[in-house]
Amino acid sequence: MRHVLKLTKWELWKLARRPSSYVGFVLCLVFSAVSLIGFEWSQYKGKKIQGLQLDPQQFLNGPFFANFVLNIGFFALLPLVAATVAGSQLAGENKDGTLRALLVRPPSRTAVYVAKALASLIWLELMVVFLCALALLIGHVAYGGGSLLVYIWEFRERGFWFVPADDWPWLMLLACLGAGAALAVIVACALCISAITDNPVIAHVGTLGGFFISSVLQRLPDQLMGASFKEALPTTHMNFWHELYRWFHPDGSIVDHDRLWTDLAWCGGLTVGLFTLGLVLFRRRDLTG
Amino acid sequence: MTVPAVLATRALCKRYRGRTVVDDVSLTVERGDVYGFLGPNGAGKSTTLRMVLGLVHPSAGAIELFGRPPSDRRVLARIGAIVESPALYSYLSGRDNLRMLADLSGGTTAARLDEVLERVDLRERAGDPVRIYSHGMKQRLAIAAALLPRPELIILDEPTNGLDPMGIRAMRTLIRSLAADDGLTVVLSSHLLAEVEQVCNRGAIIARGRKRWEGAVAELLAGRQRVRLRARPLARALDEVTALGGAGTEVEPGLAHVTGVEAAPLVARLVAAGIEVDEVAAESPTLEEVFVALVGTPEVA
Repeated sequence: MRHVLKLTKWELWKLARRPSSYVGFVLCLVFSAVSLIGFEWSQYKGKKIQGLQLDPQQFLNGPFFANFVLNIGFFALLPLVAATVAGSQLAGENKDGTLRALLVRPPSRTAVYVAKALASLIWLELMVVFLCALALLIGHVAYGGGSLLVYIWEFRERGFWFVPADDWPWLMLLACLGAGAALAVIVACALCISAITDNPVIAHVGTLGGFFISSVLQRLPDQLMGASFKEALPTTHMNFWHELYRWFHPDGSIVDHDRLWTDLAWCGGLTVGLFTLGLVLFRRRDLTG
Repeated sequence: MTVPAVLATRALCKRYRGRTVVDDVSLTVERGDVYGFLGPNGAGKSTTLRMVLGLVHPSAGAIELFGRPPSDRRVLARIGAIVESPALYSYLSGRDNLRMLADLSGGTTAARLDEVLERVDLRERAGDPVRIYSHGMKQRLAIAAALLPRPELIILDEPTNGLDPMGIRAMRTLIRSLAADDGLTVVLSSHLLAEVEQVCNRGAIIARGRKRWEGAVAELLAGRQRVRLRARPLARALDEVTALGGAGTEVEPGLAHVTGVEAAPLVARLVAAGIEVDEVAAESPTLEEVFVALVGTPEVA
């Protein structure tokens, strides 16, 4: 345990000192800026949005923009960053030879593996918070503050609702933590592949390939892709953090606990399973590179 | 009570997909040795050292470090190692590399850090990022990292690879001083025969995964001393060598290498037989010649 804490500290320190670690933060900036440009050019700007019957002036504000960026970023940007950060941890260090320098010292392979996983998760969580805070700042400057409109596709049968200005900061904070936790599946997968290859690109591409295949299949209609099959896809369950929004419903919590626990069980099981598989492979591996 | 060897391997084997790369290698490194682990490229030296350090899992055999298996990770705190090329974080400064690696080996002090940097002549450049270091500087920094936790055993895998002649000389001087001044046990893997001959007191030769010899370097050479003989007619001289119980081989016209006889009685015998003796000299073969004789592949030297 002492070794794990010490190693985690150094792993975070290395991430903080490595210039390439900041590519994700730059992408967050670019993503937020491009999203703002997209909003400015939106055909809905100044018109009522069909289905919602809301004037954009009623909801287009800083928290709405931040929430939008977080939700789209969760599928479009953050998996890329998660796969890159975690996939480089073992494979990248093995390629550079620095993994040898760590493993000829007293900390065990298990300690090194666990520390790298923890450091990846913490770094990723920092990036999620950064993305949200940045989008909040940009959105606030561009559109001002106010209540947060919650309109999430999975919950569309319950319509939309507003979360007051006093409450949405807590909701956003929890959403950031939840999104970061959901991305643990990606981190575990990337680390697992990273444990068996010397080439970090294989870990990046393999993880993202799996994620995008799962995402695409999950979004196909049930007539094409059976609902029970889609239940077995990781991305089906990675939205568990969306249930947090239902916690902040004006009528009180409308969280679907069955759904939440099912999703958490799937994500937790996948994360622990992939993490353990990677650890076993890493412990058995001959480091010849 | 017997003191366990610093490093001992017993019948160590490594097979990759049915191909044996290390086969039945038993080595013993005693405290204070400067142990040369000699073999051509691809002989299995690095794989053996990786097994010793727990980077590669043996297919068979046993390893003991200070009497303990390498799975007891605490024992690694007593070892400093450089496996193949120096492995350092290029985006960190030399000093930060040392701080981090030393902390993982149990910690260090700023004074010790400066002392080690001074030792490898890098104190002035310690704040620079490693990416701008020359290969020789990286190699010296890697040695500093290995020395920081005050190890009892230091394992250096091909430490002079890629160094210029000045760098090689400085590295050899440093290795000698590690043993002489710091009292460290040193295991030095190399394919350079001269390096082992100059630096090591004991060693082993490995080729095609198998150990060919282990012992004191001086004994290896002494046991193979010979007499260089130039005489006319050489054929008759070699008959006299045989009569004395020795053996001779003509290595070039008029010159033979003779083993199994001393120079003085040989001269007396040849003179008595009326053979003209132009040159008789006792000489030791170079380690390179012994190596070729043991391994049988001259191109490896």
